[in-house]
Amino acid sequence: MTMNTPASSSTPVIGISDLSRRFKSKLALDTVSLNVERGQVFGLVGANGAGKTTLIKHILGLLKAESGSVRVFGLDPVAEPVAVLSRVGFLSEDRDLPGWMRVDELIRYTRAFHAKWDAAYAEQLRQQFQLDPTARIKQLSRGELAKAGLLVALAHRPELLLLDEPSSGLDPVVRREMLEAIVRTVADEGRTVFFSSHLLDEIERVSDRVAMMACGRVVLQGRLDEILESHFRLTLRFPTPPPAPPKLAGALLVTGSGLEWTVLCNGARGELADAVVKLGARIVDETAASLDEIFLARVGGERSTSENLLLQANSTTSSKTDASG
Amino acid sequence: MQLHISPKDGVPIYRQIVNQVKYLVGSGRLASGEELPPIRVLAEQLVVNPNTVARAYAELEHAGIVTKRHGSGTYVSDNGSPLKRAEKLKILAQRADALVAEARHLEVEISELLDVVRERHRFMQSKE
Amino acid sequence: MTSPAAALAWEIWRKNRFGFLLLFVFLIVCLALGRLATHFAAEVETLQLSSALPAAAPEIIEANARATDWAGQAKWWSGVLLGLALLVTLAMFAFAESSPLRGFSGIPSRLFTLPVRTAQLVAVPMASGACFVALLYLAWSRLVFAPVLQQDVQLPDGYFLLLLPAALAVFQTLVWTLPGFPRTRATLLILLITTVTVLSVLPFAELNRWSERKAALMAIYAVMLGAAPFVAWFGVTRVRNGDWRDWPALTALMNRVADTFSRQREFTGPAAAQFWIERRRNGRLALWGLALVILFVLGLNAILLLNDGKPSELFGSFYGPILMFLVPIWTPMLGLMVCGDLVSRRLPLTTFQATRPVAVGDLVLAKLKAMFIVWLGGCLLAALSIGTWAVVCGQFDAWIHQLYDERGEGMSLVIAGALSLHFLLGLFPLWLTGRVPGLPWSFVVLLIIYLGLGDVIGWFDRHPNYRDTALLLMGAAAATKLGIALLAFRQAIKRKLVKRGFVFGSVSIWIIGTAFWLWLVSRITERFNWDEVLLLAFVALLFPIARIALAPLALAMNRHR
Repeated sequence: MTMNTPASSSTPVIGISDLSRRFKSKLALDTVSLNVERGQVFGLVGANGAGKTTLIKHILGLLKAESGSVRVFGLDPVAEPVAVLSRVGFLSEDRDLPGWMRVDELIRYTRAFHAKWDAAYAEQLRQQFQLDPTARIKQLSRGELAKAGLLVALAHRPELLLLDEPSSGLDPVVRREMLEAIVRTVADEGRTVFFSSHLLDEIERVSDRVAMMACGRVVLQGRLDEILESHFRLTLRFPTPPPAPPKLAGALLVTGSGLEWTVLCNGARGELADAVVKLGARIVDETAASLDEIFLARVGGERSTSENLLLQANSTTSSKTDASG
Repeated sequence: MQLHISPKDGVPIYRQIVNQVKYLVGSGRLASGEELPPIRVLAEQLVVNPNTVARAYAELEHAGIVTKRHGSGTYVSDNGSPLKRAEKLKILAQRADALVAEARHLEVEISELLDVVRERHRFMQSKE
Repeated sequence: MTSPAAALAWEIWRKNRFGFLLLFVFLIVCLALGRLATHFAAEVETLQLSSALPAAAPEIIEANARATDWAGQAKWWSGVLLGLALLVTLAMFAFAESSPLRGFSGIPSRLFTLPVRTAQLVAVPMASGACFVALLYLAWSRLVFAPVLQQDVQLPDGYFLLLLPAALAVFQTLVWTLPGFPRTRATLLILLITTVTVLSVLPFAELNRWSERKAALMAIYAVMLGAAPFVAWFGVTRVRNGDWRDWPALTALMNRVADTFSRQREFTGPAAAQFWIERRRNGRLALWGLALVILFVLGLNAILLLNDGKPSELFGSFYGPILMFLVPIWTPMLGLMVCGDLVSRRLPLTTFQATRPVAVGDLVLAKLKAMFIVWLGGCLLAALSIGTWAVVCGQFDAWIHQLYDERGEGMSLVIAGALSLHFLLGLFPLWLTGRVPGLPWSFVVLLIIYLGLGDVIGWFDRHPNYRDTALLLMGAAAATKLGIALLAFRQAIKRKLVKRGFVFGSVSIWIIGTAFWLWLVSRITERFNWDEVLLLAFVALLFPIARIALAPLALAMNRHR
């Protein structure tokens, strides 16, 4: 049972299909596909440089899709920037607001672009965020700058709220205000939120769906509760120390030594139990994996592939020297 | 209604809400017939996704702890309805499984375990 | 790298590789021109000496003309490229960085957190800059100008060897010690550059008592060169310790002044809001800078007036510099400012601007309107000041008369206005793409292009027998211009970047403007016997339209990368 009934239209608010993008020699996005439905909170997780901002720039039409397609409200943001941008509220990662403007000038300026601007709501937000209308933007602190950017993004009640690392560099008080804004937005019928973050506890709190990116690829995507329910951290106890790290189908990360090994794995509980028995071990502890651990396991896998190859190469050479020596 | 959510608990957020509401009802801090905050209000207060709160309320309703009155909100249901008693015992049996398994794991005897249970019951009663 | 000094020097070199390359290219070009000039001059000599032809033979006259031509080109371009080279050197040794939010800062603050003494931070760029600029000047003086200027003029090496390093040192001091006061700093820098330009021209101006004045000036330069490092060191220490970042009382006062002009009314629509932001972003600084330069020149003239007391002669020394500053310097800088950030390495559209829900055409229109309004404001300011000074000097009637007289002074003023519009648009579409660097590189390229064009026109002017080629070229240029405009407008409409109104408006303005010019020119040619047909063809090229047509496509390229 969901809170928001889906709107009559079935087109997703954001539809990205097989999007790839190369910057000189670097592949910033690698066949990314995702859909964001109306009324959802979609969290995009990834380390710095994973491609989150590049993806968001594609959604805004600031980057053209080299291959694949991007559709926002069913429209191409490059071909129809006005139609798309008038319904989107955006807070950029670097909060680039003109430093010379005053806060009230900023509000007045942004207001001119949106017919649906709610002046009373804007004023309420301004008082709630405690922003001095005569202050110049370049004199604002980091938190106030983020709040000013959020104010002008929210005040016209956009259908899509797009936030790029909303909490980066902010203290816990301001972070909480950001999250409250996200929750309030989605609680209004039919409005959608898409935000990227590398703070996983925030993503866990407010997202409906989550996508994890690493090295330009989406490594995991789905409903947050399903992801959390399908990942476990099992502690296995072997009767004798196994010669090599135990291989379990669906295991993402295996750590440990001697008799006890911890495995972070993904799959159906029953099948996992059977597989453990087949290995000859028993499960002594079992906890739900947090999003943090799932992310590290998944993303660590992506990044350490090259390291593993290196390790393998080294180990084969060393085993050769062992054999000859 | 004061709830506290900690995301890194290992327990999903909706389950934390469910457990805490159950605790509040069980300990008498939520009286029967008392109204729970609307989904949206609680979501804003806890800063969690409204769908999560909705799911928690749904589960609470399914367990018979709260009832949703159409159009006017969610209320704590009256206890002692015989039709739901079997459900209640089933839930408790599940909890008991976990408790017993834990006790066996920790190598605590069943008699000691029962003593602990009685002790906690006395403690709760004294707080009312 | 063994020491902080070496590291800093390496940083200056590495950051400005292309600058050094460009200067090297300039030098080569000047040397080549010099060689060509001497070659043709030698040709004349050999003709005169070796052959048995009389002195007035046509070959000798032709060879003479060619030699003078080339000598003129070599001198002109060597001077221009030296000026541009000095500008580029200023940019390279400014040793400062810019950031999107905080703007153009002084010495990069990341250097302040390294274990390097402030004295070294100041000494390395200043010393290397002074040496480099001295070497640059010597290279030009000895290698480039010496062979070309044999008999004519002797360059006062000592004077320039003190002036240029002192100018660079003062420039660096201003940049490093005033990052907290960007507007004040910008105006002081403009004043500095104007002063140095005037001072560079002084030795060739044949003033009375020049040797005394020269000695005095050289002493002043030496003092400034000596004092600058200490002042810079003092200032940078204060900046490093955070002492000069903001003077609360002064900042509050400046804010209060600025606030009286702040926008209080609501905007009537996105177009009005966009126009406001474009005007506001650059208009104030541009007009303020111009006003300061005008005041400065006024001040100089007032001093001369009090000193020598001949007002009638001073009018030209006010009128001339103002126009010289307004047309080739102020207008392209204004154009560059409106297109993007004045001093950033590239000219991208900020994310904030790019995500406004307006079409590209409206963004371009707002920029054009802002450019034009500010330019008009600048022209009015200049006209007003010139008129006022004319009244002060008692030259007002003579000046008005001069605008209509036989020598076409009025016409040249109008041509200056048209040129100014061209400079204003400059490389508008190229700058809007956001893929070319900002100051000073774009500025340098623009000046070179326009001066080159001026050169070409001058050449055709001196060789009237090539009239038909000139006509053909101009016709082709006009046709290309209109063709580009047509294609660009069509593409822009197809991609829905602009509305039809924009196209109709631009084309109408072009037609009206060109018609006005035709009328003006036809009246003038009667009185001055200028070549009608040539001028008519020229008129078709005068009003900009191709650049306006390309602008929406260029900005779209910037917005959607």
